[in-house]
Amino acid sequence: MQNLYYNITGEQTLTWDAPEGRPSAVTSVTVYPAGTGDDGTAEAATTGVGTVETTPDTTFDAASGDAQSDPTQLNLTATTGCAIGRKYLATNAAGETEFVECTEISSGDSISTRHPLRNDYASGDSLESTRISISVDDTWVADSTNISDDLDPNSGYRVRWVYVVGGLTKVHDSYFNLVRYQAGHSVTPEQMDAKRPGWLDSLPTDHIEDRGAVIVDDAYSDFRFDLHRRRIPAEMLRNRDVVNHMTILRALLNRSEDRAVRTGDVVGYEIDRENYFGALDGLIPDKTDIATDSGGAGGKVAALGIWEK
Amino acid sequence: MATATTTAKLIREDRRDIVRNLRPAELANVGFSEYDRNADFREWCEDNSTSCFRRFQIEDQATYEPPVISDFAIEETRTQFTVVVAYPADGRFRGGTINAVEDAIRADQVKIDTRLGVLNYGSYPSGLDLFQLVETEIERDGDVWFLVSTYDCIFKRAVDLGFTNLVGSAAISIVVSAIESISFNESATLPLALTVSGSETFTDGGIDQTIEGILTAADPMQELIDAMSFATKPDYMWGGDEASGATEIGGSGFDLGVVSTPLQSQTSSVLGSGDFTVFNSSSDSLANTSDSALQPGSGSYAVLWIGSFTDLLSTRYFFGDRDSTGWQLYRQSAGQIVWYLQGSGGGQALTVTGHSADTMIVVLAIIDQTANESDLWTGQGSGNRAIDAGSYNPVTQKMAVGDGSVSSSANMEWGIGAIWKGAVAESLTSTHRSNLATFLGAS
Repeated sequence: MQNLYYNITGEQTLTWDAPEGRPSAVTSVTVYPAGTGDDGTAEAATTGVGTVETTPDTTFDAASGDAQSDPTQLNLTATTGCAIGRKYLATNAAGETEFVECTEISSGDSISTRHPLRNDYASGDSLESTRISISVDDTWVADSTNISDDLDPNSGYRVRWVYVVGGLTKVHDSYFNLVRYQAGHSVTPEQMDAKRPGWLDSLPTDHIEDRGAVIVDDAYSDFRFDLHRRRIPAEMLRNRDVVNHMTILRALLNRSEDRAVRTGDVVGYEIDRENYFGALDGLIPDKTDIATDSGGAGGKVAALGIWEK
Repeated sequence: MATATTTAKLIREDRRDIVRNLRPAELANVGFSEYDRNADFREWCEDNSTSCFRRFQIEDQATYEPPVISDFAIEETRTQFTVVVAYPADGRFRGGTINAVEDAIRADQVKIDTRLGVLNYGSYPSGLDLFQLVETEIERDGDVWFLVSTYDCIFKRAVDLGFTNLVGSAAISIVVSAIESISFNESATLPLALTVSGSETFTDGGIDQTIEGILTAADPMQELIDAMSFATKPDYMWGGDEASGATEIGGSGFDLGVVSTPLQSQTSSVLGSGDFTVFNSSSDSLANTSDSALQPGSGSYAVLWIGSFTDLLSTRYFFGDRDSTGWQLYRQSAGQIVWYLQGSGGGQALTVTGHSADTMIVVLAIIDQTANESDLWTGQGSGNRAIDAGSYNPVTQKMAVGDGSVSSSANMEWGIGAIWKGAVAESLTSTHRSNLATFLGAS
């Protein structure tokens, strides 16, 4: 789910990564309040028309992929527009496709991916962005009445994307909130290692180069869903330390879970699970400040007895 | 002969650095990283199969055997090292098959052995004689495979007797302490007569020798010093017993104590560079040109021949002039070298015959003999002649060195020294050896 910043103008966009391939055209982009149907009144949240990201839209210039000594390396004609962390679509002459995550860029020469390619690519095969986007209207984004309902963990707005891929029209929905504060964590790898010494040195090989950033982000995402289960929007928490603490514990839990699945040894998993959910129950919601309205301020939420709910 | 030494630790770390810097053939963006934790390597890998890719560990198996070579300075020893590299048995390699894992491991094994093994002998650290692959296997068990390569390792290590580097004034106390220690006589009382003579420091190949000077003392400390004689000798042994406190060759005339420029650093066929005339090849000669080989006045003279003794015997070049009034060294007849101490018709001071050793170095010296040549000549054939006119076979007999019997005159200090690169015993003191070695640039 995307979050737009309230009152930040001139730079924000709504985006959609088309799973079907690179769109040839964007037919329309419409924003609705989450509770409004497609036949209802649209929000004036966007300006202009939706566009397909220009770059990367390039080709391979040397054999790459599964049969090569380094199947993670994509030899490209150009690397313009490639960005670390973004996912792009590779397609060969046989029509085989796979999305790859860019982890390294050798400017003008090649990019590397987190995971090895599983198809073979020859010169002329394509690597392209499938992203379409549309600019956010400055007036709309600066209107505080448009700020999403922070008492609801679900999104405040729905986007209806209509575009064409391979001659066929596709319709998709995505969601976003207009928020005062971006939901997220600020956990550093060093904090992870301080909590569990050796964590950095034990990172999976594919996650060493970004020092486990994706793993921690994924843990935060899990934490966000755990809040959702408690009907708490993640962006409502007004205590950065608590957010980071819970993210760290969740990352450790995920790691232990992975090890338990592989080895059958659940001792560590049980310990981490108890730590995480114990902290979650103990800290949230009644001991951590939470925003109670769209103004941005936080406060304690009194715990209610079961007969009061 | 002093030889550079090393340690198993240095070898391990050198090998580690090599592996670290290798660029793998497959998935080259994932390099080799050393496992530097305390827990068992294999167990850690199996617990962290997604994290162990190309983690490696080099271990000294400590399978030491009795040393092949050993003295009190070095010993050549043998052990084995294992190089263990971990690989997750997953589909990350080309093709994504399990065979691809093995292919990648094999490729890495070749890379590793090419750099660690005998093919890279030229890059061995000093003191490492052999690092040779004797066995390699892939342990296929579970989610993690291990490449295990075993290497035979032969290296020279320094023998640690607990005392080294006798330097400067501290040497006395160190030696004494060592003597006390080795004799289990911690409470020994040191006699007042304890002295140290000599001050030269001999450094060979960057390794400090264990001697500076000669330590003497009254009994019973002298006995302890004698017991320690191996430690007070330099690290090259031409045989013969130590004569602590002995005078130098030829007395003060041929003062090797002042030698400071190694022979190897001297210009070929240099006359009078310092106190030496040096011949480095059979083509060098000193003809009868104003008795150039004879340097009147005080100081030392020496003729040195370095090279094949056969060449020396076969050349007809003169080392000096037999007709001069100075000393001479020349080929008198086939198979003979005659050193005359007097001019034409003079008697033989030394004759070396029948030598068949491949290589020898002859150092001959006479000191300021011009003023007393008649004395020397007179001494020839008498009971106090310097060196018997008969044939001395250096292969089987010691040469007389520094026989002071003819030094009836203070100006007649002279000496003859000879060192063979062979098993010929020679009574040189440790100081002589040290200084001669310095001069000759011994290694």
